[in-house]
Amino acid sequence: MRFEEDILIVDDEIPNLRLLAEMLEKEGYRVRPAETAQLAIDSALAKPPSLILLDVRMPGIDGFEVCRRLKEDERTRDVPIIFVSALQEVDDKVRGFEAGGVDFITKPYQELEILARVRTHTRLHNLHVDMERIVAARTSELRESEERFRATFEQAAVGIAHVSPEGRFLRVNRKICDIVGYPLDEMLALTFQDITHPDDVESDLDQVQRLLRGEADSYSKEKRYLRSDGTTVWANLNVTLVRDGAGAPRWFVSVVVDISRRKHEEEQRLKVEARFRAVMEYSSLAIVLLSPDGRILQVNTAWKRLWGYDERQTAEVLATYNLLTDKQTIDLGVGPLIRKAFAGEPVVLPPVEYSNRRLADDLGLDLEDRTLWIQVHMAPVVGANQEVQFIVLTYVDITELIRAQDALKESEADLLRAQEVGHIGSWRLDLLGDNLIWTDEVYRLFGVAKGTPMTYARFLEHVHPEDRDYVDGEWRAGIGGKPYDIEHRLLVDDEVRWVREKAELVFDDEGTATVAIGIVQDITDRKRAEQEARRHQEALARIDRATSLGQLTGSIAHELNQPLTGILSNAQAAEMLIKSGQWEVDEMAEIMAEIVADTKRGGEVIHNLRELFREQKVEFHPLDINVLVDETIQLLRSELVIHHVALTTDCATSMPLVDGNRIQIQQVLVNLIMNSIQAMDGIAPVDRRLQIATAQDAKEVTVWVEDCGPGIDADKIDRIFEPLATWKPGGTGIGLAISNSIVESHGGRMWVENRPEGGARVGFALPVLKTDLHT
Amino acid sequence: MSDPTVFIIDDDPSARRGLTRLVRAAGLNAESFASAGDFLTSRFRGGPGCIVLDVRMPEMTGPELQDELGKSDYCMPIVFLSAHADVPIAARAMKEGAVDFLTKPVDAADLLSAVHVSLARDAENRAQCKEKTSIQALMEKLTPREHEVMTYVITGMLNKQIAGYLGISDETVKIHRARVMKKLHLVSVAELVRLCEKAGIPPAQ
Repeated sequence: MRFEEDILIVDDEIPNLRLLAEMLEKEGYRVRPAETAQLAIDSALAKPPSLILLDVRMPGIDGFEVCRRLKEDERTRDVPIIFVSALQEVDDKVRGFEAGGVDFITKPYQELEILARVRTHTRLHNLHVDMERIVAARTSELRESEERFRATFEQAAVGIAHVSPEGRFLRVNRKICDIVGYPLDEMLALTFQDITHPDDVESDLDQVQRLLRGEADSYSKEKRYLRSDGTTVWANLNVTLVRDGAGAPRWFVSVVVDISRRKHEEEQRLKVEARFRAVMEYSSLAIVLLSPDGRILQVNTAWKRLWGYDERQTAEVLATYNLLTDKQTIDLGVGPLIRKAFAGEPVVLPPVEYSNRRLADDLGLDLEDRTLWIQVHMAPVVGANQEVQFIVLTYVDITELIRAQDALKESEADLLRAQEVGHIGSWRLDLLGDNLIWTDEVYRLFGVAKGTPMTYARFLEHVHPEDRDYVDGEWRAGIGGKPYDIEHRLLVDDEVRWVREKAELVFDDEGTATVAIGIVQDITDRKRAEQEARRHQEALARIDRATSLGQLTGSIAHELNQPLTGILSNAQAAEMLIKSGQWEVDEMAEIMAEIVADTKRGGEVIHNLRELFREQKVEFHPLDINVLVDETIQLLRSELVIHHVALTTDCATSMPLVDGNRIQIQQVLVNLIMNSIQAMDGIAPVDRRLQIATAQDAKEVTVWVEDCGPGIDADKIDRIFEPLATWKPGGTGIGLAISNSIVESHGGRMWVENRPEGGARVGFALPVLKTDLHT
Repeated sequence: MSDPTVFIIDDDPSARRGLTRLVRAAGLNAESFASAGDFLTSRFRGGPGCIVLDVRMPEMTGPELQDELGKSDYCMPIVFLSAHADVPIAARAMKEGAVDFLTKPVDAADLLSAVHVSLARDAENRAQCKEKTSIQALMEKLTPREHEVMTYVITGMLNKQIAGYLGISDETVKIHRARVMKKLHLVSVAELVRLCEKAGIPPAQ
């Protein structure tokens, strides 16, 4: 016996009870007898026995009822009950089993049978009890494990999901919900494709297929999920496929770690690195990072550019250079400052002139000779341990600055010399007190004894009499705000001297001029040179006009012979009519009128010619360019006809007047038109077209003469205004040069260009007359 | 046909007016034009009369008009006027059949003399032209075969020879020949030869 079995025997017949008790006690069971059903129930409930032998037929409550009641109670439900009865009916046995009995022994019974059955059932019962205990223990363990798993799953710091082979989320933990931002219930309605960044879906699907095909057990990757709020989250994903016993795929276990922060940090780091690289690449300052022992760690592009190093030279310098032992630096006397920087103190070196040649010699390198003035800043970077980690060295190339400073010093000296040489004096006029202060040079220029007190009126006395009104007018306009910058003559001991005067005024708060400060410059020599040049130009112009005359002889004859033909024919017709005696007064009057008109016309031709060739003083008058163009075309009409040139004009209306010399401007027009006519001699007559156009704006009046000739050779066009630079056969080469100098002497400009459609275009512009004479 | 007229073509208004008046004072018809183009497009282009033509004009010059008129069937006689003596142009104009080349200002006697010569030449040309036209009208009455036989007759060949050349009988040649003479109202071969000469019909080769 493993332990004492406690058996409850229930029988209303005492002898039976005793018999059974003795029998069982003899076998070593502990026996509890009960004579009535109620005693049996109370006893069993008080302490559940190991087994109950229960008589069926008892007064009051029968055995079946007892059995039912005990089976109903929690405490005794599992106690095996063996019915002992004289009943032999099968029905009774069935009832017994239905009531919950485990066996049914019929009286009269064999002692051995009872013992065997009791033994069997107590053993069975013990087994059952053990089993129950084990199951309970196992169940408890399982529950714990399950809870542990659940806790792990739910509380895991990583996202976990079970995903069906099709991609649907079967089970997800809170973390993954947090990562992708969907509530649990919504997650379970989604597939992983739904929340994967479009760019990553394809690669995910490929990997999933590999797992399904058995080519791998798991995979890991970094991917992006689309969160429910539309943002993207970077995650590290680890997927394992779980298969059933037959090897069929059941689900994927996906472990998701949010790596956005890491990604973000990585991006930040890359950005910082990119910025650093950009600074190094694009800084116009040369930057060098030095190690604490003086070697070069890194240099930037500006540094290489500054010294003109290619990659190879840069590498060689980096490999060999050490600032602390550089002889040139030591010779420059900046060693102590540099050592300060290496000791951790930022320093600015004085400007030094540093030579590549010397460096090349010292290090034995092949470097281009380049010497620069540089301004060097050294900034040591100190680490947490107070030690210098590296030194940032920046250069500014100040070579230009140094040179400019030198040049400035020189030019200041030059200026002083120039003022002496250039005869420039300065003056100051106190307008309120009419007190004029001159420098020595002004006294000299005006031929007045130094120190003589001056006023505006006395100044005016020394101005050339013919220029006094002009100077006074300009000065009064100057006080009124007009820029005062004039040229006028002085009369110094009967000698005429030219000066240029320029002044600036100082105004008070009410806008009244109080003080004028000005300069006087002797420009007599320049004026003489200008007059000389003008005389030369006029002489050349006369030669040019004479040349034109030769070319125009035929045309002039033609222009004169036309009115002469009219005159002669009319006169002879009148003569014939008078002789015939058949004439009328009206017709005769008409003839006379035509003769008079033709005679005037001939006179005009001669007058125009005389004007063109008259030697006279060059005087300027207000001119209307359109009128001049018309007159010139009249003069050259027959040239156009002879040369089959079709002329079109495009003249602007309401042309402002220009200040100019009529003959000279006409000469320019004759030159340009004749050039154009001659330029087209080589092309078919039907194609010879000449266009003369005029235009105007607020400042200038412009005239263009365009032809359809071959244009001007590109190599000649730049020198076209040089004398003798003719581009046509038989040309004197002075026409354009003269024209250009005439236009320039009028304050204008002239240009020549080839038209894109072929042919040449010559234009000139003259400044509009400033006065309001033409209004 | 209208009366012979002097056509004055000059772009210069003074010269044009004076010349026109002078020609009219001399009792002749005169029409004036300011350009060669105006004349070419006018109803007077064919004459009768003569042309007084300025040399230098815009667009079409005098010599160019001469060339243009020379391309047509008949060109009126031309008297050139130039305000500027130009020997090569004058020589060329004369070679092309101009009546005269005068320089401006032109004396009335010289101009009118040249104009009269021109008008006479034009009249003569027109008369010749008219005769030729009437002969051609007669000739057109001939059949092609009669015309062919005629060209042989005027070579002086005998009927027999002509028949040999044309591969027809003597008798047939004789009949064609008689019809030719009858249609042209002629009696002798000599007359026929002269007529063909005037009409510009060459003998058979």
